[in-house]
Amino acid sequence: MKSHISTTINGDSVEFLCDPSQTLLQVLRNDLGMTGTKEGCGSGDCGACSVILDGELVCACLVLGVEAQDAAIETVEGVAAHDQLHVIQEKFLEHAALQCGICTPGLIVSTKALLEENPSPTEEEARYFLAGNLCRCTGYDKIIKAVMDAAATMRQGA
Amino acid sequence: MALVCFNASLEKHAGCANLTVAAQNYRALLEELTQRLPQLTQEVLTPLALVIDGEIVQEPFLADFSADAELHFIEKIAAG
Amino acid sequence: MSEAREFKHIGQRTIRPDGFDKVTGKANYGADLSLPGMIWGAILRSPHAHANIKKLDVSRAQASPDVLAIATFEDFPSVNAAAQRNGSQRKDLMDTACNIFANQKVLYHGHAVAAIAARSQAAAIAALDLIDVEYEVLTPVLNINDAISADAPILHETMMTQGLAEPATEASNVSARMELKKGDIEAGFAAADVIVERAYDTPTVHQGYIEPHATTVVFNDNGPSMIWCPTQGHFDVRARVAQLMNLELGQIKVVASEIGGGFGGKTTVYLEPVALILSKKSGRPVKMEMSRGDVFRASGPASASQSRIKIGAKMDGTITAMQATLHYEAGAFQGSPMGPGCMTVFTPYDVENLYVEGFDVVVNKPKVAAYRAPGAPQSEFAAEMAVNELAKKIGMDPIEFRLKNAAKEGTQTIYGPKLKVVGLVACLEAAKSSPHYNAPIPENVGRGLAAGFWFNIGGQSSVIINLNPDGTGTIIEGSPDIGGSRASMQMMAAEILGVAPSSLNPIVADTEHVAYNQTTGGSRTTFATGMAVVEAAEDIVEQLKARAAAMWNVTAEQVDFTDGVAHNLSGEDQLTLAEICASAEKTGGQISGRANINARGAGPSFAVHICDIKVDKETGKTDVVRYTAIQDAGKAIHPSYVEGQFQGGAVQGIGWALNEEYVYSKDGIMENAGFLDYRIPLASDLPEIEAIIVEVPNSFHPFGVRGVGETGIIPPLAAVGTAVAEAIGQPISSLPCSPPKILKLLMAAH
Repeated sequence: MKSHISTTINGDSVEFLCDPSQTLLQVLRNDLGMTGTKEGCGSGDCGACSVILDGELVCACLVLGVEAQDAAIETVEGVAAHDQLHVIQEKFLEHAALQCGICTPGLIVSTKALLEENPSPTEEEARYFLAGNLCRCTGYDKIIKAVMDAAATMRQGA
Repeated sequence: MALVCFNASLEKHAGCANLTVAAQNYRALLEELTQRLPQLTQEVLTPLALVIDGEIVQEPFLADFSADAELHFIEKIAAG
Repeated sequence: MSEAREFKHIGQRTIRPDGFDKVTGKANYGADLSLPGMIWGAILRSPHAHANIKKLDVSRAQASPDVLAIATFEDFPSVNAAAQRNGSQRKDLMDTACNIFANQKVLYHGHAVAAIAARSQAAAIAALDLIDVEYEVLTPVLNINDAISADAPILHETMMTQGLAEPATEASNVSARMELKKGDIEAGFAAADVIVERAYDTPTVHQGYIEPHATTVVFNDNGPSMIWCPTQGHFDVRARVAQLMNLELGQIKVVASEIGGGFGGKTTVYLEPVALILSKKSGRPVKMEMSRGDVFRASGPASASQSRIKIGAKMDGTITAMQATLHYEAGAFQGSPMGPGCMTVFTPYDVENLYVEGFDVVVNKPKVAAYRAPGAPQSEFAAEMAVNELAKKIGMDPIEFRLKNAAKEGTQTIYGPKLKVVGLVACLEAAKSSPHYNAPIPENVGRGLAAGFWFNIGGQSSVIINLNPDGTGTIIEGSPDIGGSRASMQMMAAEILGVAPSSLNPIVADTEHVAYNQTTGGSRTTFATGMAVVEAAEDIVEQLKARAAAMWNVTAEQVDFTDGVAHNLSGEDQLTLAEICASAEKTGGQISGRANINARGAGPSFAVHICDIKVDKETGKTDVVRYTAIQDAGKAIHPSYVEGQFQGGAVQGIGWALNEEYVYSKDGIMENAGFLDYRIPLASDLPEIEAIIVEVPNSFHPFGVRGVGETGIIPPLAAVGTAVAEAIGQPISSLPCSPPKILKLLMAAH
């Protein structure tokens, strides 16, 4: 028996039907066609499916689709305003903080959550906050540099 | 005359560590080697890359080389 | 080419052309394609490591209305026929088929047995329960020692060891032996004042790409079938599937999606042929995804190894002899990278007397795949550890010891050729003057240093560049972009054409839109595909000159083309590239450049890494506190992505050295098939990775490029191992240096 869910994704009202066993990640990717949120493990270990649910950073693979009822969800597709990239996205490109790019959507969303919570993180704080986002290509060096630069730029802009 | 050097594995087929050849291209080299050293068959040689004066040529079919070249057959390098 | 050459675009840090899509979630990866009417496939996998399949009964599944198609090994009827057509590849093809679906025998935990397609992923997975399999469980062979013991269960009854002095007469788990030698090894050791001899081992590890294997396939009887998948080589996927399914290449079109990491692990096929069978039988598009557990259990990890190293040196630091015996696990089917392991083990050293013997050993683990410099990290780890121990024994600095014996132009390698110009000495000098090496070693910290060598390859690349009437253009290449290579292609073409890189859009075309390209791997893409881009751009320059000449009514020889502008040498006239393109319709039609090459002259890349590690003596936990990676790039086209390769390789090597390993139960069940328990490095585990680019140009490349992708994973194993050994004051011989192992060493010392 499917449930009818009403939710808000990146500011848009969205309705969908889902099985009680379906994860939010499966709903986003397979039912809503929002494939920007990636799946790396399906067990909450890699962070590729990071989304912000009612202000809280979560792994979409660990949230059920039915839990989205009346929630506000932010995914990577909502980070840029139309074609205007967010500072975090710009800094990721400037610092070459991605190689294959599969972990990037999750990292962009996690970095946004980090900087909303702590606009002036130390490098160590950034490394620990982002420890739930695995990247296998970069060794994290350029990611952390992009994050620190984004934080500094956002502080100046604020 | 170009000098062909065999590694330890090929030496078993060739019966010698090296020899000089009149060939100046890969096809002539194969012909000459398989004729002079019957144990060294096409099946043994064709899967291998040819090293010409230190340059590894993975697909040597059309390769030619100078009369004083030093040649080695090596396993093709895999991709990672 | 001259070192002093000035470049306009090469060496800049441009924004990658595919970057916008990748930071906004628009880029489509392997699992991102869905099609109308699409159904899902799922695979039934063996719960045993080693067993005969006594019965495989799909009748209950067949009867279920939920099941739209079933596939098993029986659906490869053409394998034998196809194999006969391809004599030398026969064994390899048969092994690939038997790896995709078990053929009467399962050879590892997770080995695919059958597949089902149903309307949803959940329904497909649920329907797997309807397949009845009866196994006769056999004793698993789980490591090299077990595999080579006299009473070992034999995995393949027909496998005879190749490469023995006398032809083998009995079946064995050792598929091949290789021997390489140079000089007189006995005399070399006799001349030594000091000898170090030690055994080392490394575990089975996984490439750990974050994107699991996935594919969407549409079978088409009236035109090419379509395979969408993340792969390092879509042309080789096409070839493999064609062989397995007895199809012509033209009957298959493979579209390479964006690829979420590969590192060598996405160079073969697992799901693609299965999805094609299911699509053919069901008449529907079929999507398949591996779970993370499937990726660990059933894709190709990297070989576990055992190495015995013996090195002798005089007190003045001259190495007189180096000897190695190397065993590599191939997994369930022959074909470990034992060969390159043997060839690379001592290549950083210019030594008279060398002897190396290697063995390829099958065990009940997944069939290994390439992993960054396949074979080299294992063997060079062992060699570098022993070199460091020897340097310490004779009281020499590890850099001075290496400088004294370093391979250089003219060094005779053990695998045959003499090295051309290489950058090992330059890397060692850069290490010597690096801030890291000159910083004092903090308390409770150990410092390790190691070198690494990888050949790099060239190979086949095909490129087309089309110019538009306004002077913008498209670079059509066929090398999947795994780490920013589109940016490099853009820059190299822009350098030749004298236009802004951003005016040229690089696309990775499917198998129908560009001729064959070898797989992205072997550090070949920037080198070989880059060479094809340069050649295609030069092809365009010749055409631009001819078109300008036609406009001016002069001969092409009277036209010079520099920085994007044609100059009439017999007058004042000038035409920009865009102006020539705009008038192309008047001068003979539109302008395209083309190159189909088989690139030769790949230049080896050497690296030297320095690592500082702190060990918590109460828990055995290790912390990398400082790390520097130094490597010869020949010429860095895009320095940021070159540094990224150094840093990424270094961190994969750090993971290999410190934490990563497959853990098996005694029954051969993999017990840590997930990122929680198979622990790859996290951001919080690491310091900054300092990257130093050394540039000793490769004279065979128009810009001096050497591939950089692979070498970086080699030095970390011994740099880390040595740093840990220094920190705890105990020799390290086994990776990973995980806390329990370190604690055991610390306790044994007390």
